[in-house]
Amino acid sequence: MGTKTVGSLACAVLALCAAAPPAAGQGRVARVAAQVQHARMPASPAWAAVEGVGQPFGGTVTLALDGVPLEAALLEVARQAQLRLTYSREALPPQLRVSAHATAIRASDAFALVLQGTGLAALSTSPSRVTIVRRAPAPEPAPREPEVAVVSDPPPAPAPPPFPARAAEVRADAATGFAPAVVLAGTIHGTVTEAGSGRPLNGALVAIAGSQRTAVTGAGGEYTLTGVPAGRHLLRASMIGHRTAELTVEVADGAVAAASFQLATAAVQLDRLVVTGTAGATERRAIGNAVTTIDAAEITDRVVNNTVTELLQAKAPGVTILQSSGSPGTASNIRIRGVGSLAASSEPVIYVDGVRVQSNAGGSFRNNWQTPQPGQLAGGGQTASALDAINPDDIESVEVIKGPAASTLYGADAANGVIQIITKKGRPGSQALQWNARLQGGRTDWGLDTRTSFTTCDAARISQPTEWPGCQGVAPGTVLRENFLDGALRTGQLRNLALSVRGGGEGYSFFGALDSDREQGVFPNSEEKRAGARANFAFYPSHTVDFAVNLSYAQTRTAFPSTDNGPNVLEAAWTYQPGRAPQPGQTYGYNGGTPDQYDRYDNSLRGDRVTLGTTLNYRPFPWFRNRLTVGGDISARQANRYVPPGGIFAPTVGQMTQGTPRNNLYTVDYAGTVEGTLPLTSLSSAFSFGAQYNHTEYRNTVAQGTGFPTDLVSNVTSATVRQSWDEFLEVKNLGMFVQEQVGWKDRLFVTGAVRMDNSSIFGDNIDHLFYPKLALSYVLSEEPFLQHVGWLDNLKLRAAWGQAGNAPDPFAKLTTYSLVQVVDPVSGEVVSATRLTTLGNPDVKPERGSELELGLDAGLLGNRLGVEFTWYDKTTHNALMSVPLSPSEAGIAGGAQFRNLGEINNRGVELALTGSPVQTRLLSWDARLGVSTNHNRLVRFGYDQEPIVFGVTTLNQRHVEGYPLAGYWVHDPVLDPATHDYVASEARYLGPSTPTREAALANTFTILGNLRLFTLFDYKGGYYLLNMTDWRRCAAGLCEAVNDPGVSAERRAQLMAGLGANDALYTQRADHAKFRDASLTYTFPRRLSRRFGTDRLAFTLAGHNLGYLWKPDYTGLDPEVTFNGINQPGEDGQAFGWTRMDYWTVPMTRRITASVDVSF
Amino acid sequence: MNRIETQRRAALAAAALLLAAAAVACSDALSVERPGQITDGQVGGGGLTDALVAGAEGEFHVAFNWVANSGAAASDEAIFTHGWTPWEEYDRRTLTPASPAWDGIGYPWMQRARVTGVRNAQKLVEGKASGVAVAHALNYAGFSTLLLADYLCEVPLNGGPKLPRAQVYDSAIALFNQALPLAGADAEMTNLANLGIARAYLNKNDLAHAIEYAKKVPAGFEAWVRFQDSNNFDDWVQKYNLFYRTSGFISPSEFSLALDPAEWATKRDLRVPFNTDVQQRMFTSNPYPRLGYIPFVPSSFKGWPVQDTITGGADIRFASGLEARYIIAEASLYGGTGGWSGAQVLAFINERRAVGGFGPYAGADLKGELREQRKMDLFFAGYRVPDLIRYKQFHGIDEWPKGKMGGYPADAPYTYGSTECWPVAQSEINTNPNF
Repeated sequence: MGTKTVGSLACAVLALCAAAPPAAGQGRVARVAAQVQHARMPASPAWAAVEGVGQPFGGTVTLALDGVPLEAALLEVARQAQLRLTYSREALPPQLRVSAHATAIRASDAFALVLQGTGLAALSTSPSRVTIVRRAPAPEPAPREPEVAVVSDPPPAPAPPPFPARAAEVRADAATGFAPAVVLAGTIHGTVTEAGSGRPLNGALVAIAGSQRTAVTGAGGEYTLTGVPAGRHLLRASMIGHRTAELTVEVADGAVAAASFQLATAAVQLDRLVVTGTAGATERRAIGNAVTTIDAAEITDRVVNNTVTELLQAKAPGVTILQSSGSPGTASNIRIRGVGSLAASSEPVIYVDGVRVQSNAGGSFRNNWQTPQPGQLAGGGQTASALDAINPDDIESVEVIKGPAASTLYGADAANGVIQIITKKGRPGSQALQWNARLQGGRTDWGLDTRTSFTTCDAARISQPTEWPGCQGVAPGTVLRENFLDGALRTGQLRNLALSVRGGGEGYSFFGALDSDREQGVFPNSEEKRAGARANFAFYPSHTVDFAVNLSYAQTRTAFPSTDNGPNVLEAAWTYQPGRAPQPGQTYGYNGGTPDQYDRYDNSLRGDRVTLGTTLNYRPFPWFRNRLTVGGDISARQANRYVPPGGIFAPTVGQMTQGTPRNNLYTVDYAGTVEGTLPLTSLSSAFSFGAQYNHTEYRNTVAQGTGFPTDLVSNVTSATVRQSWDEFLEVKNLGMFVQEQVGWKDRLFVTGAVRMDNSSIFGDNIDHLFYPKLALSYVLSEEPFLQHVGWLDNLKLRAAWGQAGNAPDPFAKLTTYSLVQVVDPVSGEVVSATRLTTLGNPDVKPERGSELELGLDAGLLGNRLGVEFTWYDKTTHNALMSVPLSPSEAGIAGGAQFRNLGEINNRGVELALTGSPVQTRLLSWDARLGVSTNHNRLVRFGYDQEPIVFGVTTLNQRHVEGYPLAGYWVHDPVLDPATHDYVASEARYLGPSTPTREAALANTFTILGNLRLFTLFDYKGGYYLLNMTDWRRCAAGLCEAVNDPGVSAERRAQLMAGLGANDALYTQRADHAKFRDASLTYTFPRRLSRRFGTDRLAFTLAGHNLGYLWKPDYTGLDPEVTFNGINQPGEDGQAFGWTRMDYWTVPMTRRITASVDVSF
Repeated sequence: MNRIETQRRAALAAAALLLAAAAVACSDALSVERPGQITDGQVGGGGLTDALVAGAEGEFHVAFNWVANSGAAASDEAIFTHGWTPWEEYDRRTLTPASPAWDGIGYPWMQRARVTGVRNAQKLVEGKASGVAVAHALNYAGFSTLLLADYLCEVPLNGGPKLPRAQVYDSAIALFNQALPLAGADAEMTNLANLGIARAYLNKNDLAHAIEYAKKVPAGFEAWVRFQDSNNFDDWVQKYNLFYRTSGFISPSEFSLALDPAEWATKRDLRVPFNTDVQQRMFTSNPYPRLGYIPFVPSSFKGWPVQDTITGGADIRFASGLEARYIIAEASLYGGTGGWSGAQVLAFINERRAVGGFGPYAGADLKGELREQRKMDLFFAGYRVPDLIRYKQFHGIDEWPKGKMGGYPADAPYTYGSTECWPVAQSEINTNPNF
């Protein structure tokens, strides 16, 4: 093939893609072809020389087409020939219908038949792909033969009928003088069900090939397409997790045609589109890295996920949700493929419909013992999550981009992964509105043992009747037991109301939703409420432009009880000894305040959040796609923390602190993609480029009043002492990327990209940073030598290497001073003084995450068994280290400077098995098993640093080179012969403090198509947790172990020793398996639901956190908790954020709900 | 090239242009506000003269507070038992580089004061501040350096190696000498610089120079370390009022005169008054509490001679013409040229005795009596430890408390340790590459 010829081929393909919609005219087929040539094609003899045109290819095809749109006919031929088709929709004569009848002809002949007279030709560009290209211009196109092409030229309608009455379409082109053509129309109606089980599929997309007419099935699996031009159409039905199916349907004017689909389950969908950061989506087959897609709509249909975090939990291998507390509204840590930073954030960045949103925890005051201070973020206690403002019911799907190998295009702070949340949308096309409503009620309760306390009545206690009335009259050695917590707990109420509507019309679509959620915790001052609204609009003014506006509003209120390491009722109840006299003024045993007193604590956060995103997609040419997203996420909150006067809280005189944190996050994101073929080759090319700009702003003003004579007032103004402070933070990022993806035969793809970033937080000496990426995807199963392997449907091998950044603290680069007050030595007046606050590093830059991942995606046994396997090796280079400076140099106590010195490694595997072992009308069984491992290791500090030892009460965690970050290093109790006390042994390594192994098994059983049972079990293992709650109880002599007569005195003494000496006994293996979710749904048969005027009526009984299947070693209630919530590593520049322990923390509470879902 | 190709190339060119434009716009687009922080560049840009001066002074006040307290504890001027601070290591003179009350508190504060004084002086110069302003910062940098030299055996400066004490005094003298010409007609700054030089020379045992500079200081000169009284934790963080907390003045029960009550019972010096009616039990968490008297405001504190307990807001005189006279007297007695005669020294001693409520001195040990008067006049103002070091190092007089510690019950096992100067703290050892 000569250069000119190849170039011509490229031009031919591109030119075809660029063809404008044709004008209409008399003699339709001929006019269409002529218009195309005139408008888009240079008259060049080269077109006739396109190599390959006319050569036979493909298998045999049988045609029975009557009045079918040309595009549908082409797709039908391709489908029968099992060929992939590349063509430009715009280049096809839009109103041309063809009729063709033939039996067992070659595919090439079939294409030639249906393309006859169009000026187009089918070119085989690979064994599995056909491209429609332009033939040489015909001087005078001849009318098609009646038996081949039917050209309907209906008489013009006297007046356009009201749209969409009878769904007639009127198209006119005054410029060409073409008379308006009226296309008679009908309706298509049908259902989409799952093959085998017969289960109606809710949310399946049914589209007419070659048009924008689409419909989404309702809850009963039904859909309706109105205004469908009369004639034969190719319908295509698709849904996540199922094979796409096609049907040809004949639509008669004014009639309703039936077309129902049965979609077989498909474990692996290589043709599914995923978001990658470029303009437009990319087929999964072309992507060299793992991308996990969570079908959120399906999950929320099965279980009640109150938060986005719950939605993510146990759904994607490699994504670890570290819950902190069972109190509603408390934030969790999200870790993707481990922790890659010692001193910067480890949280992924989150986008909603392309707009970056605030996802970090915070805003609320921590419920710890500390008085809120300016800039104080660290400390025990829980805090709120910004993600909770997003209603899980609004989400269509979630895509998890796991590491630098995949997130390169997202730039300088994406090394921890990217989570793309895609909300529900309407569908364009004339169709009925789909309303969905859910009413749910339920309860939240403790769901676990409330813990019994013990007292051994020894002689000393028996001799003290005033102090130990409960020990009077009993024999020495009698063990008293009592449970003090029950009376402090409540059963919280839960309700959820959700209403949504989905629809669309000619050139537009919309989705709207309202929701109201409320969940009470197990304490009276524990609650989370959310009320929200969402409106997603999309407009399709032409084939080349579409425009979407996504607007959401959420109002939230979260109330946190005083727990964790603040004064709290758990401690009061669990450290009170049976038999002991109540404290003065109390009638029951609490070691501290009473539940009523703790309930007066008010720590709440109210939030108003608006997220607005607008996305413009513009395809000026078929080979050129552009996407521009502009959006903002604006969150205004008010945080209150009221400590009543009276003695059980600090300060004892009472305190009110009020903050008004406000986060604004703006996104401007442009991306473009140019597609074509590479010169001199037949390789496909997709060249992408883009730029992103993010602007984050945080403002907070805090007022604090201390000292109230009474709790009748609780405002700052009434306090005896008042103070205030403010906080401000601003960060701006700008990044640009280019990417080239080269495809060979549509089964081998090589992608290379580079991203350039700059940010306001980079050191002054850092101008730009570059992040490269290289990925390979090979669809091996489409090689001829594997075609005959019957059990193998799909097999894609993939490899990816890439880098991305992880941003340092915004002030890491700056040497800064603050203003404080000092007494002037001469005048004695209070004056302002500068004080050095931070020592910046002008060379500081983001950490560089570098990742290699290898994996495969396979569909087996008729694509009923899917296998996704990934091995990854992620290393953080230039890891930020808080390097202490010598006091004589820095001039700051504990002065430190962030430097890019360290190295941290995470390695692991991820395996997802998806299968449908049973698919019958009687019973269907769908299962998904996810398994992942992560081995984290601090490779090196990069400077002369001894192990960093930290902990609360006991120093039992360390950052040590060669070991996992924040691993436990524990001390065994050793008897000191001199003092006869138990003292600490040398510390020994015990294990990691975060899970290294996780698994989740989800099963869905559908019985007779109407009754569905869903279960989710998950496992976390390979880690430890300090159970300080039990230590406190045992050290106080009231846990069971130290009151067991069978326990030796030596063991008892060990258990009761100081935590610094015996933390090995309380740092316990936290491996566990939980029965996380279960639901039972009964969907009324359609004939019954119709009686109620609904399309679907279903009742669901669901449970969350139903209990432990396995917890062999951990003696506390819940090894998932940690007392300091979502303290970010590095948040305080030190180790506190890494401290993990169970200390008066509310375990994951049980939730039981009943709901009714109605669609109409 | 056909039209389509032209379009495609045009699109790519436009995209490249867009990216280039974005790159060019980069610098402007990424500028951000930092309203809560003053950057290094801004601080040196002028306009913050008073705040920089106040910053240098404030840091010195913090550091001085620490040495005044810890020195008092170590030299048996006072006992502290504040619950948060392990004062016993100072009290028993068992200080180590890693002692929490030294490594984490005192040492970094002292270094911070010096570094801040020097840094702020540089920033003032950058900001073209007045010479007097620069002299302020240099003088407080100098006195901060004096604190380091007075209390530590060896001192690293600016991340460098350990320097012998004499070199650190030289460093302080250099700072004062830089301040002097800048002070111009500002008497306070001139006096402060001269006194600082005189003190440095005295502690180096360069007696002639000590006398030379001390003579330049008028008798009425006073410089004060200022504090504000507050019991608010937030407040002292904000206002450098660290004296309140670290000194342990939570209540009189946490502060006591240190010497054996039997000895103090015989002292009735008006300059160091105390409540003779009450003896505090100190270190009550130990099986052997130590006893001491509750002090009233001493003569080196603001408020004297009112006989009342010391508050956390009491100002302390850290430099004065009185000290200059003591320098002249001591240097003269030990052979310094250009100083006073014996009679002049005796007259000075008798003047001070009168202030203490005593009659003229009749003994022959003028040096000993001068030490006693200095001890009372400069009580609890940070002088005692460097005095003890100087007496022992240059004059062979060891007045460090020794043997069994006073104020404890007879069977208490406590004896004085060997700490006579503060070691370089562990945090410096860990982070300074010269160690």
